[in-house]
Amino acid sequence: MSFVLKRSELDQLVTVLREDGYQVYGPVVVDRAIRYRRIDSIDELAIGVRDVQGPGRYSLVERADDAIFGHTVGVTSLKDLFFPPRRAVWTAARDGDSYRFEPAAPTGARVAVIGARSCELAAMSIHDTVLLGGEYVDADYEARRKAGFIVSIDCTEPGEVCFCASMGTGPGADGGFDLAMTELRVDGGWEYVGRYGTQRGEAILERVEHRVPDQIEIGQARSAVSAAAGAMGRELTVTGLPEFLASHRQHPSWADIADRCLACGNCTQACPTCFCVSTIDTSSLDGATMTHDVRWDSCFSLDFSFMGGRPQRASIDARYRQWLTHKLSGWVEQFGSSGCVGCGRCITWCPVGIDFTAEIPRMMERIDG
Amino acid sequence: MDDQASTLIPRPFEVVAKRRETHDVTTLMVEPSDGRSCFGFEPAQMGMIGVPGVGEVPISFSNHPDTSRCLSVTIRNAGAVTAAITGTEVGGVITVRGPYGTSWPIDLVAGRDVLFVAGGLGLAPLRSAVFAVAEESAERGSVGIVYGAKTPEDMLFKGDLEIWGEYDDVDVHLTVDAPTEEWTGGVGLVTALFEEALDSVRTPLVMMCGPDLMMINAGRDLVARDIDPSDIWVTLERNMKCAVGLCGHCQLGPLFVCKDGPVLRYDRVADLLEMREV
Ligand SMILES: Cc1cc2nc3c(=O)[nH]c(=O)nc-3n(C[C@H](O)[C@H](O)[C@H](O)COP(=O)(O)OP(=O)(O)OC[C@H]3O[C@@H](n4cnc5c(N)ncnc54)[C@H](O)[C@@H]3O)c2cc1C
Ligand code: SF4
Ligand code: SF4
Ligand code: FES
Repeated sequence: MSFVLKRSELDQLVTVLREDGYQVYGPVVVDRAIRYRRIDSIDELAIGVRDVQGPGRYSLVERADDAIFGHTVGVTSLKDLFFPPRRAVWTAARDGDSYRFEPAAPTGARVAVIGARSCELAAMSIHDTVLLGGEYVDADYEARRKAGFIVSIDCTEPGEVCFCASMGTGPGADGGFDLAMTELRVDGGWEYVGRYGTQRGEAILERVEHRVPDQIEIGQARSAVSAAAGAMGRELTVTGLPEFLASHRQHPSWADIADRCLACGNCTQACPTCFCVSTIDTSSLDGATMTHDVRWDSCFSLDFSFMGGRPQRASIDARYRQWLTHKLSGWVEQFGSSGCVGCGRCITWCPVGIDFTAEIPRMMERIDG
Repeated sequence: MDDQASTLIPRPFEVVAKRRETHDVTTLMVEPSDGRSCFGFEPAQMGMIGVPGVGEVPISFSNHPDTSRCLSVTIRNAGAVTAAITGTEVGGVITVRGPYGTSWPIDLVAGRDVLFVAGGLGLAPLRSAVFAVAEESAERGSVGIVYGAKTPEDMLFKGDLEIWGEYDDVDVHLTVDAPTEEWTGGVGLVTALFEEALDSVRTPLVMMCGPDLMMINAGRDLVARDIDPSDIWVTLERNMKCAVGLCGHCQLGPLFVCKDGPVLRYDRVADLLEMREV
């Protein structure tokens, strides 16, 4: 089952979602970068811009056309919306000599995202496994996730740092969305050739004017996506990689990379799958109420592994090794998939441009390793 | 009783008794003050123990598993959170959630000799197992307990050590780094006592807890004495913020020490422990 929307009808979709009480988010230009922001209309989206990304480099340039989704992933990801950087877990109030604990109230926010990319859906599916698949679950994430509505956009122009094709996570989405679309240039205008992912998606789209695509349009959408897969300039060879990293914790390359790495943690904050958090306990001035929050943490911080009076991973070598080996090796053992979806954010937002798709092949070639 | 989500929310527990073990270690006996019943635990399981507004930290339960006193925790004053917990007076309230993690392989004890190896505070998570094995396991063989501390004054549970030494087929071997004049036990590392301990326990099942460095040395030494690495069990310590596999802090290679551990079979972790800064 599929559908086609005109641009004006895409705007209707935003309106229908808002009528249903969703807060609609989409890619917007903020501070010269693309980020997810709340929108009331598609006019606010990052129209007519393309992102130029490279190791440690990011800029936006004007496109020759006015495509809405003519860019790739921005600095923020769905993680910011469904797994926010800081949130309360419980509060306590003094109750005589004791305390009364209350789980933090669910946000109640229903988030709809328009323009999520395939790699981001893959990252959310990884978060589902990590945060909801075990014996204990993250209740806040579960509530946000259940309430969320996802409209994904297939990528037809891969960016310079993307390598989703080699990770098997893109450029077209094959699950994890309520509605998915490909943006196509047709006769000087734009069409959004789409498919349904859920009944909820179908029910929403019923209230938006649309028509049924013909076979040619469906074929055009498909070939635009597969052309993008073929045009991807970057790749990561994943066969044997988990085993290689697990058995090379003492490779000399770790020190070489650590010479450049600042341990700033940007990579972990930008990564859509990094899930490590720390806790913050605070108390009101009169001591009557206390709050226990979690906030994103990073394995690059010294506090992260603090134990017995000192950090377990004091050197940057050890911290970089922890990050990469967890992401690409330990993760497979823990959760049954790689922790990387090939979005390239850690490459772009690394201030010194460390690019593990280049470091790993070098590391594997080094015979002294 | 507890549903899954609410076990992540702490419960208030009243301090009903307090005992000073050494100059910086205190045992607190606690009981729920929310009108609900206490929870049970398996030896070596831990709880997240805290003070609202200050924080919570992982601590092993140190009491006899069948005690009527609910739970006890034996805590070294190591920093802000442990200071707030151990500073709570009798009648005051701390928070507890748990129990979490794996436990000692008590079910493997039948028909086996057992060697307990503890360094410093490592006797706390072993205490409940020693009770369970030495007192209660009818099918066990001989038991050896090797315990090392910095000084005689740093030895925990001295009363228990005396009682355990009086059980049939239980030998207690003690050592300190820095002896006093009255000290009659050994001097040096726990490994120095293995020879005499292994005289009375044959191809034992080993349960060991102490600082990483102690366990690395003791593990190597035991393996060199022909003990099968798969017969050695260790309990590990790592930074923990959640204790349930959600915060990422406790990782050791591919393991989450909070849920895959804290008790792990030595052959699964020996390489990772030996390596620097993993
Ligand atoms: C499974 C397990 C069982 C433990 N059992 C006991 C026990 O029975 N008795 C006991 O006294 N101690 C035990 N510990 C160690 C205890 O958790 C730390 O001493 C305590 O966390 C120190 O916290 P602090 O805030 O007082 O100290 P600080 O040094 O001020 O801590 C700073 C931060 O680092 C973290 N941290 C510091 N040291 C440790 C550590 N060793 N382990 C985990 N996180 C740490 C704390 O969470 C805190 O946020 C155990 C640890 C683990 C992992
Ligand atoms: S590791 Fe880098 S490329 Fe992979 S998902 Fe995270 S940010 Fe994207
Ligand atoms: S790899 Fe780059 S982004 Fe990550 S911590 Fe190091 S310097 Fe920062
Ligand atoms: S302590 Fe949080 S994941 Fe283990």
